[in-house]
Parts: sequence; structure tokens; C-alpha cells
Amino acid sequence: MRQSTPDSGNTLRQYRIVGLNLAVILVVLSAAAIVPRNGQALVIVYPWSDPGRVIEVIADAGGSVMNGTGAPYAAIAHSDEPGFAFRLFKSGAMLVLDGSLAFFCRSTSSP
Amino acid sequence: MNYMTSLRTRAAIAIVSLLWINLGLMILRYLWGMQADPVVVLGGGAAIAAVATLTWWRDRTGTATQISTALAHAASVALLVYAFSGSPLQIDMHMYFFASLAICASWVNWQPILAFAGLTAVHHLALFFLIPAAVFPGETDFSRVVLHAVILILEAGALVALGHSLSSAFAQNDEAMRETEIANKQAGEMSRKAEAAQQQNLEDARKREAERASDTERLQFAMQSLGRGLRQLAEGDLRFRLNDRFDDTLEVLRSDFNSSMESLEQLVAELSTSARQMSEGSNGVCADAERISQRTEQQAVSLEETAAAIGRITENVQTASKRAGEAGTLVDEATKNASVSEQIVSKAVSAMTEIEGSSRQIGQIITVIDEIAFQTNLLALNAGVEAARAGEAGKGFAVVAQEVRELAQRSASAAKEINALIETSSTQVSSGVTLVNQTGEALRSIGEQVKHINDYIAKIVDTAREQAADISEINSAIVNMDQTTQQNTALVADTTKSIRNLAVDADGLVAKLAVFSVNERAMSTPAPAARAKPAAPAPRPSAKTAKPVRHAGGGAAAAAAQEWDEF
Repeated sequence: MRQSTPDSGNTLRQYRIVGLNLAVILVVLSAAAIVPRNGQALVIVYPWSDPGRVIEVIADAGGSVMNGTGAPYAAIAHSDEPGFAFRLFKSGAMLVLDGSLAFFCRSTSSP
Repeated sequence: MNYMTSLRTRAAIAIVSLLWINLGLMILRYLWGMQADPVVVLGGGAAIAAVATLTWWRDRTGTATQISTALAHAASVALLVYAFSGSPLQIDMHMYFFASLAICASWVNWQPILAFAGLTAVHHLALFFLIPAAVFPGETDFSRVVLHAVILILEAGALVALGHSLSSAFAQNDEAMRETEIANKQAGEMSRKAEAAQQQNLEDARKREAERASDTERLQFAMQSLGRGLRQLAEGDLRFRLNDRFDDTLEVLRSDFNSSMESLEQLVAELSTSARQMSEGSNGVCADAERISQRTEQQAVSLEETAAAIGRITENVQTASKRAGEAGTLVDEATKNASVSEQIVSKAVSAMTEIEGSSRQIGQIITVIDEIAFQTNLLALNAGVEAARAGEAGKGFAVVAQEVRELAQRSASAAKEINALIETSSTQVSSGVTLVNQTGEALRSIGEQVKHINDYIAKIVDTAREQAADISEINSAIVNMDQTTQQNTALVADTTKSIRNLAVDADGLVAKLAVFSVNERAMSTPAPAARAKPAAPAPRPSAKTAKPVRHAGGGAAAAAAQEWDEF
């Protein structure tokens, strides 16, 4: 196979190009992994909020709580309406992830 | 461009196009309805395809482009699988991974294949543990992941091996093509070189021939020029120069010939100038010598005249000495006469003194007579008085007494007159004595002065005698000078003759040097001797040469007289 034999400057440039592509790919794939699907979302509020704060946020976003987690500031919510994640952020959620990532918070029970 | 590059260029277009086709499939899936977030799927797919396309745009077949497009394909297929979340076809979409891997093998390089396989493996393992539903529908286990991995590894290995074989074949092909091309180029080059060498040989031969002819021509030209120069030199023309350049190898001959001619011309010009100056100088010296001879003769004549004059002076001096001796004799006589005059004066003084004594005695007698007259007068008076007293008887007596008285008065007045005359005579005698004494004194001083004159005249006589002796010596010296001047005249005549011969020789030298023709510039160049002694007396002006001094007019004679005065 033909091997490119660039000098060090050229090699660094090649690494940079590949790194840029890889970064875009990782961002896209990570987004795909963490963006909620099927209306299920892991809702996380600020840890120092009141214990019932996460429930209020989900309720304000028009969703329903599907499951709790080991942490008081996180819960798995569901809504069939599109734009659920956006509404959750608007209601005061700190972070909204895909519902399947609830293992980060050691889910207490299965639905 | 070799075949490999051509293949990769064409494959790149297909690979990049396929990324956008994948985006189209995502759009179709979105339109069909999908659970996945459309922003992530469509936006992510477009971003991945765009970055990969930009990379390809910057470098169509580079390694970074190959790896980046392979990674983009793996991500694009992963997004498609994600887009089929919840669909029973999701598991079938995994076949697209293997198809895409095979498409990426069209880069014919192990690096994009490895990148594709690596990203796919990492993606599957991560999602298997994180979000299994994103990659596999329904229930799944690790054995599926392992099965997929084995298939992936097998396919990747097979594709790498295939790529390696293709690459080797392409490389050999390219090498053969290159060698053929190089051989063709070398053959063409050799043929061109052979032709150029042949052409060069022909040109060299022509050049050599031309150079030989040119050399012969230049040599002939140089020899002709030198021959012409030597002929001019033989004819005495030193102005000739070789102005046309010779060949480089013969140029030194020309410069040597020109410098020799220059030196010779300079030398002859300086010789000419020197000879001319010598001729002028010797002519001037000859004229001066003739003038000196003339003046020496005049000097001899003058000396003879001087000797004669000195002889006459000697005679005059002797005559003067003689006259001085005679004057001395006369002075002696005058001295003697002066002494006699002194005695006479003494006698006259004595006589005058005696006259003075006689006059004084006469005066005394007259004084007695005067006293007798006075007494007589007195007696007459008394006699008259007595006569009066006697009356008539005394009248006669009175008359006698009167008469006596008148006689006495006359005697007294006569005595007075005689006394006055004696006084006058005495005074005159006294003045005569004084005058005689003064005369004696004058005669005495005359005698003494005559003695002085006698002494001076004796000295004059001695001096005149000494002068006569000195003048005799001067006369003998002038006689010697006259003889020396005569000898000088003879020597000057010889010198004049020699100088005239020298002038004739110098003229002859000038005439002989006139055979050589030189430039005015060389003639005007001052001679080294003249340059070295700028303060030396310059030769006489040319007018002197044009009009030799021995035939010169009044002006030259005046100049010569001035020179003689300076001399």
C-alpha cells in the first residue's frame, strides 16, 4: 500500500484533519446517545434543590414520572408530545438525557 | 498521475457521494417516521458529511481524507442504525456497516479500513453497555456483539489483504511504467546527445578550421605590421605605432614594439633637445669667450696705458720732491733773514728809546724856561707897581717893566708850545716803539712759522720719496699683470677655438639626430636633466642663437656690457 511520507508538519496537519472529523463524529454520536428517544427522558435538576423539585419540573413540562432513581434530584419522565426535552429545560431542568441512561443514577425499579 | 492515484481519485468521489446518499436515506427515514431525534440524525448526518466533504475538497486522496471519510462512513451508518431505533429493520441495517467497510476498501489502503473497523467496534461496545436499544432491537446479549466483531475483523482483514495485493500490483505496474518511461526518456536523451555530439564535432571541426585560418591571418597581420614598423624605424620615423590590435597571444609583441618605439622616440627627442640646448649653449659660450678675449686685449692695452701713466706719476713725484727741497732751502734763507730783521728791529727800538729820553730832557729844559718866564712876569708886575708909586719918576721904568712883562709872557707861551710839541713827539715815539716791538714780534713768529714750514717741507720731501718707491713697485706689478693678461689672451683665444669646435660638433649632432622623426609631444617633453635642475641658468634666448654674439648689434653689446659689469 502506498504510504504517505510527509514531513512532521504535514503529519501534524493530517492528524489535525482526522481529529476534527473524529471530534464532529463523536459529538454527533454522543448527542444521539444522550438525546431522549420515544419521549423518555432522564431529568436531572440541581442537586441542592428541594427534594420535590424534579417532580415539579416534569409536571411543568407536561410529562409524567415513569421511574425514580437513587438520587433525589433525578427521575425518568415520559411525554408523547414532541419538544419534551426543550420544555423540560424551560421548566428548570439542569440536564436532560435519554431515559435509557438512567443506570447512571441506579434506577430503583423497572416500569 | 499513476494508476493508484487515479483509482483513489475516482473512488473518493463515490465515497463522498455515498455520505450524502446516506443523508438522503436519513431524510427518507425521517419522513417515514422515526423515534430518534430528527435534529440529531439529520443535523449530525449533514455535519459529518459536510466535514468529510470539506476534507476531501482540500485534499482529494490524502491519508487524512481517506481516514476521515472512512470514519464519516462508520458514523453515518451508525446514525442510520440509530434512526431505525424501534424498527425491526434496525438489526438488518448492521449489514450496511459491512457494505460501507467494503466501499471504504476502495481507497486501497489499510488505514481507512482500520479506522472504520475501530470506530465501529468502539461504537458497538459503548452503546451495547450504555444504550443497547440504539444498536440492537429487542433483547440482546454480548454474543451478538462478539459475532459482529468477528465478522468485522474477518472482513477488515480480508479487505486489508486485498488492498495490499492491489497496492503491490499497482506499485509494480507503476514501477514498470515508470521504468519504461525512464528508459524511453534515456533512449531519447541518448539519441539527442549522440546527435548533439555529432553536431558538436562538426562545429568543433569548423571552429578549429576557422581558428586556424584566423590564427594564420592574425599572425600574418602581426608580422606585416611589425615589418612595416621596422621599416619605418629603419627610415628614422620614430612616430610610427602599431595601433591595430594583434591576437591576444601576439598582443604582447605589439605592446613591446610600441613601448620600445615610445622609449626610443622619447630618448631621441631628449637627445635632440639636449643637443640643441648644447649647441645653443656652446654658441653662447663661444660668443662670450670671444667677448672675453676682446676684453682681455682691451685690458692689456689699458694696463699698458696705466703703466705709462704711473711712470709719469713717478716722474712728477720726483719733481715735486725736488721742488720741495728747493722750497726748504728758500725757507732756510727766509729764516735767516727773519733773524736779521729781528736784530734791526731791536736796534730801531733802542734808537727810539733814546729819542724818547732826549725829548724828555728837552721837556725838562722847557719847564725851567717856563718857570723863568713866570718869575720874570712876576718881577715885571712888581716893577710896574713900584714904578707907579714912584709917580713921574717911575713912568719910564713902568714902560720898561711892561716891556719886560710882555717878553716874559711871550717866552712862557713859546715854552708852552714847545712843551706841547715835545709831548706830541714823545707820544709818537712811544707809539713808534710799540709798533717796532710789534714788528719784531711778527718777524719772530714768521721765523718760527718758517721753521715749521721747513719741517713740513722736509716731511713732504720724505713722503714724496716713499711715494716714488711705492709707485715703482706698482709699476712693476702692473708690468706683471700686463704679462699675465697677455697670456690670458692667448688662453682665451685657444678656449674660443675649442668652444667653436664644440659648437660645430653640437650642430653636427643636431643635424644627425634630425634624421629621426619624432612627435611634437615628445619634443616638447622636458629633458630629465632640465627637469632635475629647474634653477639652473637657462640657455640664452633663441634670438641669441639666431644672431650670434660675435655679429650682434648694439643691443647685444649692451647686454654683454651689462654681463661684464656683473662679472
